[in-house]
Amino acid sequence: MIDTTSLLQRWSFLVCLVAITSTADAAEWHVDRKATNNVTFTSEVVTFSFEGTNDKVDGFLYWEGPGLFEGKPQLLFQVEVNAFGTGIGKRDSDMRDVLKADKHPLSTYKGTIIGHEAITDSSGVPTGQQHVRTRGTLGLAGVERSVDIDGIVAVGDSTATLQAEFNFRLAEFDIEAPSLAAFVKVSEQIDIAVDLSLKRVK
Amino acid sequence: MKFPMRIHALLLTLVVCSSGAWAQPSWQASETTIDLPVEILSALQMANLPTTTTLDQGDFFYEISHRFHPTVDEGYDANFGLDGPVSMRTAVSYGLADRWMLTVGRSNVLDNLDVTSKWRLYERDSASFPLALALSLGLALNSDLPAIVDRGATDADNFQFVAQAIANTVAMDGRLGLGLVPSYVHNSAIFAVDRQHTVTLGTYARFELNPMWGVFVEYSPALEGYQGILLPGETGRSHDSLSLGTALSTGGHDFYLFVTNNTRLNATQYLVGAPTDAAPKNWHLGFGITRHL
Repeated sequence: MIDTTSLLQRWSFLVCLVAITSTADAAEWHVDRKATNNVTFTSEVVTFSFEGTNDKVDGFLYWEGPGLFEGKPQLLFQVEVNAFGTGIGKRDSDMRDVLKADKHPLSTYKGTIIGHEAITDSSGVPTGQQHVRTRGTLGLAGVERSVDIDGIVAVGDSTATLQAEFNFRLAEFDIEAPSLAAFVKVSEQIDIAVDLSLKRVK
Repeated sequence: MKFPMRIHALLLTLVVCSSGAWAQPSWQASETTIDLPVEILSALQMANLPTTTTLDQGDFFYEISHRFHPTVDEGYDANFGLDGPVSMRTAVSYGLADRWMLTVGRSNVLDNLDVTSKWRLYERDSASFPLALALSLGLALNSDLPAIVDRGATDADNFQFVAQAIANTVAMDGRLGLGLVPSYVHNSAIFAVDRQHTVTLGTYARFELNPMWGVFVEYSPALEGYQGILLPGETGRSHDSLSLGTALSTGGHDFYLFVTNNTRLNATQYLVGAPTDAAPKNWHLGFGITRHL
Protein backbone atom coordinates (compact mmCIF):
# COMPACT_ATOMS: atom_id res chain seq x y z
CA MET A 1 0.00 0.00 0.00
CA ILE A 2 1.23 3.47 -0.93
CA ASP A 3 2.18 5.78 1.89
CA THR A 4 0.55 9.10 0.91
CA THR A 5 2.82 11.14 3.14
CA SER A 6 5.91 9.68 1.58
CA LEU A 7 4.51 10.23 -1.91
CA LEU A 8 3.78 13.88 -1.17
CA GLN A 9 7.29 14.34 0.19
CA ARG A 10 8.81 12.97 -3.01
CA TRP A 11 6.60 15.11 -5.24
CA SER A 12 7.38 18.16 -3.14
CA PHE A 13 11.07 17.56 -3.57
CA LEU A 14 10.71 17.17 -7.34
CA VAL A 15 8.56 20.27 -7.76
CA CYS A 16 10.99 22.31 -5.67
CA LEU A 17 13.91 21.03 -7.70
CA VAL A 18 12.27 21.86 -11.01
CA ALA A 19 11.13 25.26 -9.83
CA ILE A 20 14.50 26.22 -8.40
CA THR A 21 16.38 24.85 -11.40
CA SER A 22 14.20 26.68 -13.89
CA THR A 23 14.49 29.98 -12.08
CA ALA A 24 18.21 29.59 -11.64
CA ASP A 25 18.56 29.23 -15.42
CA ALA A 26 16.52 32.32 -16.28
CA ALA A 27 18.58 35.00 -17.99
CA GLU A 28 17.63 38.59 -17.47
CA TRP A 29 19.45 41.53 -18.96
CA HIS A 30 18.68 45.15 -18.27
CA VAL A 31 19.75 48.20 -20.23
CA ASP A 32 22.82 49.51 -18.45
CA ARG A 33 21.78 53.11 -17.99
CA LYS A 34 25.27 54.08 -16.90
CA ALA A 35 26.78 52.82 -20.14
CA THR A 36 26.54 54.34 -23.59
CA ASN A 37 23.13 53.84 -25.20
CA ASN A 38 21.81 55.49 -28.29
CA VAL A 39 18.62 55.53 -30.25
CA THR A 40 18.95 57.64 -33.38
CA PHE A 41 16.34 58.58 -35.93
CA THR A 42 17.10 59.98 -39.35
CA SER A 43 14.82 61.89 -41.67
CA GLU A 44 16.26 62.00 -45.18
CA VAL A 45 14.98 64.88 -47.27
CA VAL A 46 17.06 66.55 -49.95
CA THR A 47 18.91 69.50 -48.36
CA PHE A 48 16.86 69.15 -45.17
CA SER A 49 18.02 65.82 -43.72
CA PHE A 50 18.50 65.71 -40.01
CA GLU A 51 18.82 63.24 -37.21
CA GLY A 52 17.92 63.10 -33.56
CA THR A 53 19.66 61.18 -30.82
CA ASN A 54 18.46 59.91 -27.48
CA ASP A 55 20.31 58.20 -24.65
CA LYS A 56 17.36 57.94 -22.27
CA VAL A 57 16.67 54.29 -22.95
CA ASP A 58 15.56 51.56 -20.60
CA GLY A 59 14.30 48.01 -20.88
CA PHE A 60 15.16 44.35 -20.63
CA LEU A 61 15.83 41.11 -22.45
CA TYR A 62 14.68 37.95 -20.74
CA TRP A 63 14.41 34.24 -21.33
CA GLU A 64 14.22 31.07 -19.30
CA GLY A 65 16.37 27.98 -19.46
CA PRO A 66 20.07 27.47 -19.92
CA GLY A 67 20.07 27.84 -23.68
CA LEU A 68 20.34 31.16 -25.48
CA PHE A 69 16.86 32.72 -25.90
CA GLU A 70 15.49 29.28 -24.98
CA GLY A 71 12.22 29.62 -23.12
CA LYS A 72 9.63 32.39 -23.16
CA PRO A 73 12.03 34.95 -24.60
CA GLN A 74 10.68 38.45 -24.18
CA LEU A 75 12.00 41.93 -24.52
CA LEU A 76 10.87 45.45 -23.84
CA PHE A 77 12.66 48.68 -24.63
CA GLN A 78 11.47 52.22 -24.12
CA VAL A 79 12.84 55.66 -24.91
CA GLU A 80 11.85 59.01 -23.50
CA VAL A 81 10.43 60.93 -26.45
CA ASN A 82 11.23 64.25 -24.77
CA ALA A 83 14.92 63.34 -24.74
CA PHE A 84 15.37 63.30 -28.52
CA GLY A 85 17.72 66.09 -29.51
CA THR A 86 18.18 67.23 -33.10
CA GLY A 87 20.53 70.10 -32.33
CA ILE A 88 17.84 72.78 -32.70
CA GLY A 89 15.63 73.42 -29.73
CA LYS A 90 12.75 74.77 -31.79
CA ARG A 91 12.74 71.65 -33.95
CA ASP A 92 12.84 69.49 -30.84
CA SER A 93 9.89 71.38 -29.44
CA ASP A 94 7.92 71.00 -32.68
CA MET A 95 8.78 67.31 -32.75
CA ARG A 96 7.50 66.83 -29.23
CA ASP A 97 4.24 68.46 -30.26
CA VAL A 98 3.90 66.21 -33.29
CA LEU A 99 4.64 63.11 -31.22
CA LYS A 100 2.23 64.22 -28.47
CA ALA A 101 5.01 63.73 -25.96
CA ASP A 102 3.09 65.43 -23.19
CA LYS A 103 0.50 62.66 -23.26
CA HIS A 104 2.74 59.84 -24.49
CA PRO A 105 6.21 60.52 -23.07
CA LEU A 106 7.51 57.02 -23.83
CA SER A 107 7.89 55.11 -27.06
CA THR A 108 7.97 51.40 -26.31
CA TYR A 109 8.78 48.25 -28.21
CA LYS A 110 7.54 45.08 -26.54
CA GLY A 111 7.99 41.75 -28.20
CA THR A 112 9.35 38.26 -28.30
CA ILE A 113 12.23 36.54 -30.05
CA ILE A 114 10.94 34.39 -32.87
CA GLY A 115 14.27 33.16 -34.17
CA HIS A 116 17.99 33.53 -33.98
CA GLU A 117 21.13 32.19 -35.57
CA ALA A 118 24.80 32.58 -34.88
CA ILE A 119 26.68 34.99 -37.11
CA THR A 120 29.86 33.61 -38.62
CA ASP A 121 32.74 35.31 -40.34
CA SER A 122 33.84 34.58 -43.87
CA SER A 123 35.64 31.43 -42.68
CA GLY A 124 32.54 30.11 -40.99
CA VAL A 125 33.82 30.81 -37.48
CA PRO A 126 31.17 32.12 -35.08
CA THR A 127 31.75 35.73 -34.18
CA GLY A 128 29.90 35.46 -30.90
CA GLN A 129 27.04 37.53 -32.24
CA GLN A 130 23.52 36.37 -32.84
CA HIS A 131 21.20 37.57 -35.55
CA VAL A 132 17.92 37.85 -33.69
CA ARG A 133 14.48 38.18 -35.20
CA THR A 134 11.82 39.72 -33.00
CA ARG A 135 8.11 40.33 -33.36
CA GLY A 136 6.21 42.75 -31.22
CA THR A 137 4.34 46.00 -30.79
CA LEU A 138 5.84 49.42 -31.31
CA GLY A 139 4.08 52.28 -29.57
CA LEU A 140 4.55 55.88 -30.66
CA ALA A 141 2.39 58.96 -30.11
CA GLY A 142 -0.33 56.84 -28.54
CA VAL A 143 -0.62 54.47 -31.50
CA GLU A 144 0.53 50.85 -31.44
CA ARG A 145 1.54 48.84 -34.48
CA SER A 146 2.74 45.25 -34.90
CA VAL A 147 6.23 45.16 -36.34
CA ASP A 148 9.07 42.72 -36.93
CA ILE A 149 12.49 44.04 -36.01
CA ASP A 150 15.80 42.27 -36.57
CA GLY A 151 18.87 42.93 -34.51
CA ILE A 152 22.29 41.71 -33.55
CA VAL A 153 22.93 40.62 -29.99
CA ALA A 154 26.32 39.78 -28.52
CA VAL A 155 26.03 38.11 -25.13
CA GLY A 156 29.01 37.97 -22.78
CA ASP A 157 29.27 36.74 -19.21
CA SER A 158 27.83 39.80 -17.57
CA THR A 159 27.39 42.31 -20.37
CA ALA A 160 25.72 42.25 -23.75
CA THR A 161 25.23 44.59 -26.66
CA LEU A 162 22.27 45.00 -28.93
CA GLN A 163 22.14 46.74 -32.29
CA ALA A 164 19.14 47.10 -34.53
CA GLU A 165 18.07 49.12 -37.52
CA PHE A 166 14.56 49.47 -38.80
CA ASN A 167 12.25 52.05 -40.27
CA PHE A 168 8.63 53.01 -40.24
CA ARG A 169 6.37 55.47 -41.97
CA LEU A 170 4.89 58.33 -39.99
CA ALA A 171 1.44 57.66 -41.44
CA GLU A 172 1.46 54.21 -39.82
CA PHE A 173 1.28 56.02 -36.48
CA ASP A 174 -1.26 58.58 -37.67
CA ILE A 175 1.41 61.28 -37.70
CA GLU A 176 1.30 63.94 -40.38
CA ALA A 177 4.79 64.79 -41.60
CA PRO A 178 5.50 68.30 -40.27
CA SER A 179 7.03 71.06 -42.36
CA LEU A 180 10.71 71.90 -42.16
CA ALA A 181 10.28 75.03 -44.24
CA ALA A 182 7.31 76.55 -45.98
CA PHE A 183 6.98 73.85 -48.62
CA VAL A 184 9.39 71.14 -47.46
CA LYS A 185 8.14 68.36 -45.25
CA VAL A 186 9.87 65.89 -42.99
CA SER A 187 10.46 62.58 -44.74
CA GLU A 188 7.55 60.19 -44.44
CA GLN A 189 10.01 57.39 -43.76
CA ILE A 190 11.96 57.55 -40.51
CA ASP A 191 15.05 55.36 -40.10
CA ILE A 192 15.88 54.18 -36.62
CA ALA A 193 19.23 52.90 -35.35
CA VAL A 194 19.52 51.35 -31.89
CA ASP A 195 22.75 50.68 -30.05
CA LEU A 196 22.36 49.47 -26.48
CA SER A 197 24.52 48.12 -23.67
CA LEU A 198 22.99 45.58 -21.33
CA LYS A 199 24.08 44.07 -18.06
CA ARG A 200 23.05 40.76 -16.60
CA VAL A 201 20.84 40.84 -13.56
CA LYS A 202 21.28 38.04 -11.07
CA MET B 1 12.89 12.68 10.74
CA LYS B 2 9.59 13.19 8.98
CA PHE B 3 7.85 16.56 8.53
CA PRO B 4 4.16 16.64 9.08
CA MET B 5 2.16 16.62 5.88
CA ARG B 6 0.79 20.09 6.54
CA ILE B 7 4.29 21.59 6.54
CA HIS B 8 5.09 19.84 3.26
CA ALA B 9 2.02 21.29 1.65
CA LEU B 10 2.93 24.75 2.91
CA LEU B 11 6.49 24.49 1.63
CA LEU B 12 5.27 23.23 -1.72
CA THR B 13 2.85 26.10 -2.07
CA LEU B 14 5.53 28.63 -1.15
CA VAL B 15 8.04 27.26 -3.64
CA VAL B 16 5.54 27.03 -6.49
CA CYS B 17 4.23 30.51 -5.85
CA SER B 18 7.70 31.93 -5.47
CA SER B 19 9.01 30.26 -8.59
CA GLY B 20 6.04 31.59 -10.49
CA ALA B 21 6.97 35.10 -9.40
CA TRP B 22 10.63 34.58 -10.23
CA ALA B 23 9.77 33.38 -13.69
CA GLN B 24 8.97 36.92 -14.69
CA PRO B 25 11.50 39.66 -15.41
CA SER B 26 12.31 41.75 -12.38
CA TRP B 27 12.72 44.89 -14.51
CA GLN B 28 10.73 47.89 -13.40
CA ALA B 29 10.07 50.82 -15.70
CA SER B 30 12.07 53.85 -14.69
CA GLU B 31 10.57 57.28 -14.21
CA THR B 32 10.94 59.77 -17.03
CA THR B 33 13.85 62.09 -16.36
CA ILE B 34 13.41 65.01 -18.74
CA ASP B 35 12.11 68.24 -17.23
CA LEU B 36 11.05 70.47 -20.09
CA PRO B 37 9.70 74.00 -19.95
CA VAL B 38 5.93 74.05 -20.32
CA GLU B 39 5.14 75.27 -23.81
CA ILE B 40 2.52 77.99 -23.81
CA LEU B 41 3.46 79.81 -27.01
CA SER B 42 6.00 78.22 -29.32
CA ALA B 43 7.41 81.49 -30.67
CA LEU B 44 10.01 83.43 -28.69
CA GLN B 45 8.48 86.73 -29.65
CA MET B 46 5.61 88.33 -31.45
CA ALA B 47 6.18 91.00 -34.08
CA ASN B 48 7.16 93.52 -31.40
CA LEU B 49 6.60 92.08 -27.94
CA PRO B 50 8.31 89.17 -26.20
CA THR B 51 6.69 85.92 -25.15
CA THR B 52 7.59 83.83 -22.11
CA THR B 53 9.24 81.23 -24.33
CA THR B 54 13.01 81.01 -24.02
CA LEU B 55 15.70 79.26 -25.98
CA ASP B 56 17.02 75.91 -24.89
CA GLN B 57 20.54 76.06 -23.53
CA GLY B 58 23.06 76.43 -26.34
CA ASP B 59 20.52 77.38 -29.01
CA PHE B 60 20.89 80.45 -31.21
CA PHE B 61 18.17 82.68 -32.58
CA TYR B 62 18.29 85.34 -35.26
CA GLU B 63 15.81 88.09 -36.08
CA ILE B 64 15.55 90.58 -38.89
CA SER B 65 12.65 93.00 -38.96
CA HIS B 66 11.62 95.85 -41.22
CA ARG B 67 9.07 98.62 -40.90
CA PHE B 68 8.50 100.48 -44.14
CA HIS B 69 8.22 104.24 -43.77
CA PRO B 70 5.68 104.95 -46.55
CA THR B 71 2.13 104.07 -45.64
CA VAL B 72 0.01 101.59 -47.57
CA ASP B 73 -2.38 104.45 -48.13
CA GLU B 74 0.16 106.25 -50.33
CA GLY B 75 -0.77 103.80 -53.05
CA TYR B 76 1.12 103.07 -56.24
CA ASP B 77 3.47 106.05 -55.87
CA ALA B 78 4.97 104.37 -52.81
CA ASN B 79 4.42 100.82 -54.14
CA PHE B 80 1.66 100.53 -51.55
CA GLY B 81 4.12 101.02 -48.75
CA LEU B 82 6.94 98.85 -50.00
CA ASP B 83 9.17 101.70 -51.16
CA GLY B 84 11.77 102.59 -48.64
CA PRO B 85 13.20 103.84 -46.53
CA VAL B 86 12.78 101.37 -43.70
CA SER B 87 13.48 101.08 -40.04
CA MET B 88 15.17 97.79 -39.41
CA ARG B 89 16.35 95.66 -36.55
CA THR B 90 18.70 92.72 -36.47
CA ALA B 91 19.24 90.64 -33.36
CA VAL B 92 20.98 87.52 -32.21
CA SER B 93 19.99 85.52 -29.14
CA TYR B 94 21.65 82.71 -27.25
CA GLY B 95 20.26 80.26 -24.72
CA LEU B 96 22.37 80.58 -21.55
CA ALA B 97 20.21 77.95 -19.86
CA ASP B 98 16.94 76.24 -20.68
CA ARG B 99 14.98 79.12 -19.18
CA TRP B 100 17.42 82.00 -19.56
CA MET B 101 18.47 83.72 -22.76
CA LEU B 102 20.46 86.75 -23.87
CA THR B 103 19.75 88.93 -26.90
CA VAL B 104 21.82 91.59 -28.61
CA GLY B 105 19.89 93.68 -31.13
CA ARG B 106 20.40 96.80 -33.16
CA SER B 107 18.01 99.19 -34.82
CA ASN B 108 18.97 101.85 -37.35
CA VAL B 109 16.79 104.33 -35.49
CA LEU B 110 19.43 106.32 -33.57
CA ASP B 111 21.62 103.21 -33.95
CA ASN B 112 19.90 101.86 -30.88
CA LEU B 113 21.86 98.87 -29.60
CA ASP B 114 20.18 96.84 -26.88
CA VAL B 115 21.27 93.93 -24.73
CA THR B 116 18.38 92.04 -23.18
CA SER B 117 18.14 89.10 -20.87
CA LYS B 118 14.94 87.09 -20.47
CA TRP B 119 14.19 84.62 -17.71
CA ARG B 120 11.23 82.30 -17.48
CA LEU B 121 10.36 82.47 -13.81
CA TYR B 122 7.18 80.48 -13.45
CA GLU B 123 5.18 77.96 -15.39
CA ARG B 124 2.06 75.99 -14.70
CA ASP B 125 0.99 73.10 -16.87
CA SER B 126 -2.75 73.07 -16.43
CA ALA B 127 -5.47 72.03 -18.84
CA SER B 128 -7.81 74.75 -17.64
CA PHE B 129 -5.39 77.64 -17.16
CA PRO B 130 -1.81 77.08 -18.31
CA LEU B 131 0.37 80.00 -17.37
CA ALA B 132 3.94 81.13 -17.80
CA LEU B 133 5.63 84.21 -16.42
CA ALA B 134 8.90 85.73 -17.53
CA LEU B 135 10.97 88.81 -16.86
CA SER B 136 12.99 90.68 -19.45
CA LEU B 137 15.58 93.30 -18.54
CA GLY B 138 17.51 95.31 -21.09
CA LEU B 139 20.00 98.11 -21.53
CA ALA B 140 20.08 100.20 -24.70
CA LEU B 141 22.59 102.68 -26.08
CA ASN B 142 21.68 105.26 -28.71
CA SER B 143 24.86 106.29 -30.46
CA ASP B 144 23.71 108.03 -33.65
CA LEU B 145 23.07 111.53 -32.44
CA PRO B 146 22.17 114.57 -34.51
CA ALA B 147 24.95 117.10 -34.98
CA ILE B 148 23.06 119.67 -32.97
CA VAL B 149 23.31 117.48 -29.88
CA ASP B 150 26.59 118.16 -28.14
CA ARG B 151 27.04 114.82 -26.49
CA GLY B 152 29.46 111.92 -26.79
CA ALA B 153 28.22 108.65 -28.25
CA THR B 154 28.51 106.85 -24.91
CA ASP B 155 27.25 109.67 -22.73
CA ALA B 156 25.12 108.50 -19.83
CA ASP B 157 22.11 110.33 -21.30
CA ASN B 158 22.21 108.01 -24.29
CA PHE B 159 21.56 104.91 -22.22
CA GLN B 160 18.10 103.56 -21.59
CA PHE B 161 16.81 100.78 -19.39
CA VAL B 162 13.78 98.62 -20.04
CA ALA B 163 12.00 96.09 -17.83
CA GLN B 164 9.18 93.90 -19.08
CA ALA B 165 7.09 91.40 -17.14
CA ILE B 166 5.54 88.85 -19.46
CA ALA B 167 2.53 86.63 -18.87
CA ASN B 168 1.24 84.07 -21.37
CA THR B 169 -1.65 81.70 -21.39
CA VAL B 170 -3.58 79.79 -24.02
CA ALA B 171 -7.25 79.06 -24.54
CA MET B 172 -9.42 77.25 -27.08
CA ASP B 173 -7.46 74.02 -26.86
CA GLY B 174 -4.18 75.85 -27.28
CA ARG B 175 -5.14 77.68 -30.48
CA LEU B 176 -5.52 81.12 -28.93
CA GLY B 177 -2.40 82.48 -27.28
CA LEU B 178 -2.66 85.55 -25.11
CA GLY B 179 -0.01 87.83 -23.68
CA LEU B 180 0.27 90.71 -21.25
CA VAL B 181 3.53 92.64 -21.13
CA PRO B 182 3.56 95.52 -18.64
CA SER B 183 6.71 97.44 -19.49
CA TYR B 184 8.78 100.23 -18.05
CA VAL B 185 11.29 102.30 -20.00
CA HIS B 186 13.74 104.48 -18.10
CA ASN B 187 15.09 107.56 -19.95
CA SER B 188 12.50 107.03 -22.66
CA ALA B 189 13.26 110.45 -24.22
CA ILE B 190 17.02 110.72 -24.52
CA PHE B 191 16.91 114.31 -25.79
CA ALA B 192 14.71 115.59 -22.99
CA VAL B 193 16.28 117.90 -20.44
CA ASP B 194 14.78 115.99 -17.54
CA ARG B 195 14.90 112.20 -17.22
CA GLN B 196 11.69 110.67 -18.56
CA HIS B 197 10.08 107.30 -18.21
CA THR B 198 7.21 105.51 -19.91
CA VAL B 199 4.94 102.74 -18.64
CA THR B 200 3.26 100.76 -21.38
CA LEU B 201 0.93 97.79 -21.29
CA GLY B 202 1.80 95.47 -24.13
CA THR B 203 -0.99 93.09 -25.07
CA TYR B 204 -1.34 90.54 -27.82
CA ALA B 205 -3.42 87.66 -29.07
CA ARG B 206 -2.44 85.05 -31.61
CA PHE B 207 -4.92 82.62 -33.09
CA GLU B 208 -3.68 79.49 -34.87
CA LEU B 209 -5.67 78.75 -38.01
CA ASN B 210 -3.64 75.55 -38.35
CA PRO B 211 -0.23 74.43 -37.07
CA MET B 212 1.48 76.60 -39.69
CA TRP B 213 -0.66 79.72 -40.17
CA GLY B 214 -2.03 82.14 -37.65
CA VAL B 215 -3.29 85.68 -37.25
CA PHE B 216 -2.29 88.07 -34.51
CA VAL B 217 -2.92 91.48 -33.08
CA GLU B 218 -0.73 93.53 -30.75
CA TYR B 219 -1.94 96.63 -28.95
CA SER B 220 0.34 98.57 -26.64
CA PRO B 221 -1.18 101.58 -24.92
CA ALA B 222 1.04 103.85 -22.87
CA LEU B 223 -0.36 104.02 -19.36
CA GLU B 224 1.84 106.61 -17.74
CA GLY B 225 4.82 108.81 -18.37
CA TYR B 226 6.40 110.23 -21.47
CA GLN B 227 4.70 109.75 -24.82
CA GLY B 228 6.18 112.63 -26.75
CA ILE B 229 8.38 112.72 -29.81
CA LEU B 230 11.32 110.38 -30.10
CA LEU B 231 13.55 112.03 -32.69
CA PRO B 232 14.59 115.63 -33.27
CA GLY B 233 12.45 117.10 -36.03
CA GLU B 234 9.36 115.11 -35.13
CA THR B 235 6.27 117.00 -34.14
CA GLY B 236 3.25 116.19 -32.05
CA ARG B 237 3.35 113.18 -29.80
CA SER B 238 3.61 109.42 -29.88
CA HIS B 239 0.53 107.23 -30.00
CA ASP B 240 -0.55 103.84 -28.77
CA SER B 241 0.81 101.10 -31.02
CA LEU B 242 -1.28 98.69 -33.06
CA SER B 243 -0.06 95.83 -35.25
CA LEU B 244 -2.17 93.18 -36.92
CA GLY B 245 -1.35 90.57 -39.49
CA THR B 246 -0.44 86.99 -40.18
CA ALA B 247 2.07 84.65 -38.61
CA LEU B 248 3.65 81.68 -40.33
CA SER B 249 5.52 79.04 -38.37
CA THR B 250 7.64 76.41 -40.02
CA GLY B 251 10.37 74.21 -38.63
CA GLY B 252 12.66 76.73 -37.00
CA HIS B 253 11.27 79.82 -38.75
CA ASP B 254 8.63 82.26 -37.65
CA PHE B 255 7.45 84.90 -40.11
CA TYR B 256 5.29 87.89 -39.28
CA LEU B 257 3.72 89.98 -42.02
CA PHE B 258 1.53 92.81 -40.82
CA VAL B 259 0.46 96.42 -40.85
CA THR B 260 1.28 98.78 -38.02
CA ASN B 261 1.27 102.43 -37.11
CA ASN B 262 4.61 102.06 -35.32
CA THR B 263 7.81 102.13 -37.34
CA ARG B 264 10.01 101.89 -34.24
CA LEU B 265 11.51 98.55 -33.42
CA ASN B 266 13.80 98.28 -30.43
CA ALA B 267 11.94 97.95 -27.15
CA THR B 268 12.99 101.30 -25.65
CA GLN B 269 11.68 103.04 -28.77
CA TYR B 270 8.63 100.92 -29.63
CA LEU B 271 7.27 101.16 -26.09
CA VAL B 272 7.19 104.96 -26.15
CA GLY B 273 4.63 104.71 -28.93
CA ALA B 274 4.01 105.17 -32.63
CA PRO B 275 4.75 108.33 -34.61
CA THR B 276 1.12 108.45 -35.79
CA ASP B 277 -2.20 107.21 -34.55
CA ALA B 278 -3.60 103.84 -35.54
CA ALA B 279 -6.04 105.01 -38.21
CA PRO B 280 -5.84 102.84 -41.37
CA LYS B 281 -4.38 105.71 -43.38
CA ASN B 282 -1.33 105.54 -41.10
CA TRP B 283 -0.67 101.84 -41.50
CA HIS B 284 2.80 100.81 -42.61
CA LEU B 285 3.84 97.41 -43.84
CA GLY B 286 6.14 95.47 -41.56
CA PHE B 287 7.68 92.07 -41.38
CA GLY B 288 9.74 90.05 -38.99
CA ILE B 289 11.66 86.91 -39.80
CA THR B 290 13.15 84.81 -37.05
CA ARG B 291 15.25 81.69 -37.27
CA HIS B 292 15.80 79.33 -34.39
CA LEU B 293 19.20 77.74 -34.94
